[in-house]
Amino acid sequence: MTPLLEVRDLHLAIGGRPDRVVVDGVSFAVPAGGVVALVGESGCGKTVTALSVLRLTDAIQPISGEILLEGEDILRCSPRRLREIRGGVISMVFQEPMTSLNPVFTIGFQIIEALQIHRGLPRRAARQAAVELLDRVGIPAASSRVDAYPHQLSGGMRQRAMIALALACRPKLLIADEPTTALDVTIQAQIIRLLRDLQREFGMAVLIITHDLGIVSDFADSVVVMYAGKVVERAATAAMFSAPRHPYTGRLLASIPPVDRDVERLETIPGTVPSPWAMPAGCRFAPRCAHADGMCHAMSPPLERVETGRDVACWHPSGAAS
Amino acid sequence: MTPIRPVLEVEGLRVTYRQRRPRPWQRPRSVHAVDGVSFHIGSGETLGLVGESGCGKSSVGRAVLRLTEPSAGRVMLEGEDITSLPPWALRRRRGRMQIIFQDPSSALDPRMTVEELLSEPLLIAGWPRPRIHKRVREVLEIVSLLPEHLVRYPHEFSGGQKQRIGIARALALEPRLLVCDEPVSALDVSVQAQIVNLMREIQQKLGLSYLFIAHDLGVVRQISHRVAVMYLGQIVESGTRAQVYGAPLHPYTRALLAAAPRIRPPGEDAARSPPLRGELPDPANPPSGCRFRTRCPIAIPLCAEHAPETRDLGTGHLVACHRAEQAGPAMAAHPAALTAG
Repeated sequence: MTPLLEVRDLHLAIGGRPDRVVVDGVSFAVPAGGVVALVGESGCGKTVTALSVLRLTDAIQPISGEILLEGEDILRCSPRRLREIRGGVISMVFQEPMTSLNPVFTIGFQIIEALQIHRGLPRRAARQAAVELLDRVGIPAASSRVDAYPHQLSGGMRQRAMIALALACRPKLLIADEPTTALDVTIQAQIIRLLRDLQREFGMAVLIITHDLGIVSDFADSVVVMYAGKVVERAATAAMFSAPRHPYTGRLLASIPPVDRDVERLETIPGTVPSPWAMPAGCRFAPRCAHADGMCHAMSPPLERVETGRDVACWHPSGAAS
Repeated sequence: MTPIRPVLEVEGLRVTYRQRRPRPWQRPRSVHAVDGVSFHIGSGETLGLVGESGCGKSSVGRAVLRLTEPSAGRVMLEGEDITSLPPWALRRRRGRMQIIFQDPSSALDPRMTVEELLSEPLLIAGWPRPRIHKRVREVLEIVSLLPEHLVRYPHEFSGGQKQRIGIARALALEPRLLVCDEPVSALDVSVQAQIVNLMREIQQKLGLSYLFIAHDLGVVRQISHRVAVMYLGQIVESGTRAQVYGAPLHPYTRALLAAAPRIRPPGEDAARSPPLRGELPDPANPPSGCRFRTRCPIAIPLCAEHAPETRDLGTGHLVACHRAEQAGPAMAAHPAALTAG
């Protein structure tokens, strides 16, 4: 079965220059109705990868690879087709709703605009649909809040409005870039719950980009871990968390300070992420890896299937299940 | 970790911010960002102060240092009341209490080298040059930076290294108390762990006290000896780490712990604990009685009438809730069951 979205060997570079590559051969797929998390630390390339799915990056341009939406390459489609896809087939929720909603229009206006353009609804019906959407995402008194401006809403309510806007055209895929990072934990839990309910109700696929592995474990079916512009491990969520196979994934999980037990000393990852202009010749994690040997420093490991449903880019994957 | 003599004692602290006048002829409204907060921190001890944005936790930290003037209450540093000290006298005591900020990029002057950044507090305190030279190298070593870093500028460092510089600068004057305002929340998780470990090592080595302000419950658990939970300007629960995390008594603490994102073992469904409903009320116009009652799953009519007193429910476990006992022991085992009500 063809996945809904398939990213194949995507290379992104600043200004499209081959000597300024920031995402180096990323591949992953999002099945229809599935939830995939793209995780990694700042600068690993997860956000530009997600933005490039909707071709929302200016400074960073794809230099090779494919982004297939039901078999159609988004990197090669016409501007007109791209406009149909954006908001119509794929929509996006950003980290900071205050900067992604337009401050000079009411939230209702912004939702109605999307409904009129993509679904061709007449104004009155669009307004009715907007109220229903706001109500569905849990905004109290939706029929009056529809006329509120973004600044009149709290952070949590703005993110709900943003989600209502993103869902207006019943997208097949929702890309959520750190949707709860700016929110408090109790509100964060509400928003994740809402996204999960809506995902099930509408049967849409979700690509969530986050650095918070706790959210991933609550929400995603499968996880793609990125490090220094490359995918290092892909697996189903439960398998990933119970037995990470790439040393980076393992160290990353171990360094989370647990909320439910005391630890003597937190695990850390020695060293720092390499600069994109001075990448190690072999495996990019090798300089920080306890298991690295000559092979690791000399050659970059390919992303290979190591067990059913799991791909790892490592010459010495840890904890073999066999 | 029982303190012998508290390094810091805070009693009935209030911080009031004035809002703009709603109309030119009306009186400006005031918001009590911190409304009657009391706690103490012993020598070599860390008190974790947790709560969501807008609860007043950063205002507490700033008021303790008198970076924001408290409108009522007392702050005692090593037994001395510093609340009403005149500025010149306060300045002489500033060396004993220092602060680490959340965003190290904006807390470090980009035009100063590391050497200049670390020397500045010592120059202001009037240290002689040779001692400054020596002390700068000492603190640099404490935070595991190298002498060659002294000639560099802040932009040449990663976020974690910048935070190390911030810590070194705070340590320069040999303080007794460090106020740490979200010191790791801007950092990636692996770097966060490095800084938390470093701060624990420094505390063991130097025996200083931390007021550690953060919203991340996991981080707070790993660094604090005692924990205080704030909601809308007040401390609702405080106690040892084991008391607050192991047997939380206040419904807000339980809800926070239940909402904390964590990696759950397979089979444990997050759906068991529905998130807390509603949002933080307007601090300028807090609910009557208990401030948490509008979101509380176990509120009763009494909660709207009387604000709960802070009570000691056993060996320093302080709780401000009318219903702490009713929901207490049974809930501790199943924190999820409570929010389901």
